[in-house]
Amino acid sequence: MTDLLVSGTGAGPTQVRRASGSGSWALVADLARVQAIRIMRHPVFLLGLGWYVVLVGVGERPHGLYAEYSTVTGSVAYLVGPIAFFATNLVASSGRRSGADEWTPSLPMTRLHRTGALLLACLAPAAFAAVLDLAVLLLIRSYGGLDMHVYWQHLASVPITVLGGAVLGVAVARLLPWTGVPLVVVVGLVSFNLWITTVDPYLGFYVDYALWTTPPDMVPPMVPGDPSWHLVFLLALTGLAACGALLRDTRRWWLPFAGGAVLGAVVLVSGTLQLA
Amino acid sequence: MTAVRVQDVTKSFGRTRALQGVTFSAGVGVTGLLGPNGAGKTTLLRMLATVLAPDSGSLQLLGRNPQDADDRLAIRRRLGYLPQEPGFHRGFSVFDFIDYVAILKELTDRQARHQEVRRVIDAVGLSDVAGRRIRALSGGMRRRVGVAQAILGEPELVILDEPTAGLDPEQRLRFRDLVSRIGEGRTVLLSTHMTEDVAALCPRVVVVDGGRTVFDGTPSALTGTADGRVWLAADRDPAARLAWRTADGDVRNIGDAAPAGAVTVPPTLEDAYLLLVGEAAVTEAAA
Repeated sequence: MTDLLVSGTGAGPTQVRRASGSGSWALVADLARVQAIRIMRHPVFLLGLGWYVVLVGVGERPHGLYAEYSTVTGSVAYLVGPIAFFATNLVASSGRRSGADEWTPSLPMTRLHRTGALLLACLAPAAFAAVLDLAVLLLIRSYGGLDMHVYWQHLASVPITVLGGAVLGVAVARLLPWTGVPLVVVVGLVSFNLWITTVDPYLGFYVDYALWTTPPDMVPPMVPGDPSWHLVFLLALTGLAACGALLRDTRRWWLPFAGGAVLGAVVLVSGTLQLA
Repeated sequence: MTAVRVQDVTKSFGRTRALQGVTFSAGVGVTGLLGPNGAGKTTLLRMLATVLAPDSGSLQLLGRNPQDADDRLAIRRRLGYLPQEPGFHRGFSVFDFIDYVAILKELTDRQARHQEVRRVIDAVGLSDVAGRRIRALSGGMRRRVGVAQAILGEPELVILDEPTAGLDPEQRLRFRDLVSRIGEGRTVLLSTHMTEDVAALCPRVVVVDGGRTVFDGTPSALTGTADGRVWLAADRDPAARLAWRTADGDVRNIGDAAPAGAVTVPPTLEDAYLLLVGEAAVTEAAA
């Protein structure tokens, strides 16, 4: 019976080294690589990317300083940010949705390490956004557009915004693990953004840099602001979301809680200073 | 060595008492865990897989206490678990999914890990479909993927919850062969409600019903509890608890005792199991 039924070659077990002690952080990079591939291959991400290409690539070329500058500094963040949010949220919540969370706790890698790997994987869409933004910049330059200085802080804010969106996706999956909540969060954020801009147009989450900076070659109307503090503001918001993502996964809950409190203060300070 | 010691374990979910004092132990070899649906088998196995904690009673796995965080981690590093309904990330290929689980099992060296992944995929006979996405596999193949992840890294304790559910006869035989190989030199807990699998594989069987252990012994001892309680007749006997017409045309009756003059036949493990579970159910109702 055995000869007939056994399909394997009967190879002996491999001597596989395991992580020692409680530290499996060495494996977090491996897991992050796997999760990054899942995020980048996620249908939501791919469809969103296609949507961006259709909107920016097939539509009319941006004409004029304002439109060109705005396309380079805003369009990638504006479109890739939300799809990174949904893609990472779906990857982070796939265990709950597929039922894998019922048994994966029996595996030795802790939930803290797994969430850490997911947060690390968020760098992938951010890096992709950076490359895409540079490609858009070069494309516009290739036909002689954007005849003005592009500030590095404005370029850097694009991948950081996408990183923030991706990290927020993980945080929502971890803190609010219920179906439909990610959509509610996005609708809530957009609604708040629309409302706050009725109070003051420059308090919204998205303020067009073309309207913001005050170089001599910028078109009016100009709004004074500090792009460096804006970067700090974005990084602090991203860190705040990361702390939220880790909050439920560690026994030392006070660590991300304290980190979140500090970063919250940084958000307030940098948020004020960026407005000059 | 006794790898599993369960003593008076209870577990409730709200007002439902899933386990009401289960006691048993298991050592090297395949131990069958039999019980009807809703008997508490899956709850018990989830506890043994360190996914759930008991409300009361004591558990010892591989000589360690799963209630202690450090011990729990040590247990998880030596444990393989196939749940009843393993949720898969269906976008993964077979190889990628097993490799993903191997990372979660903390197998560090990438080259050795991939070699181990290929070994377990080969062991369950899925080498030909290693690159195929899980969503494209049949139910039987998915069960095999589940078994493959459970035996990754040569765990000392393997817990299999209903591994043969929904499989065709050939696949079930393949599983028997595989499980019997896994059980050589390590402890395997095999939960099922299929008595044929237990009779074929397990030198020891524990029967759980109504959240309690109602039998713990060898399959032949369990079969022996039905001696003289199975008889053939031309018609259904009113004294029988269960009766069915066989392919030969006789009615096989099983009950508390064969009536005088009845033609008794050697019982099977299934007969004994049905009588035992029936008794437990009656006792529970009376209580």
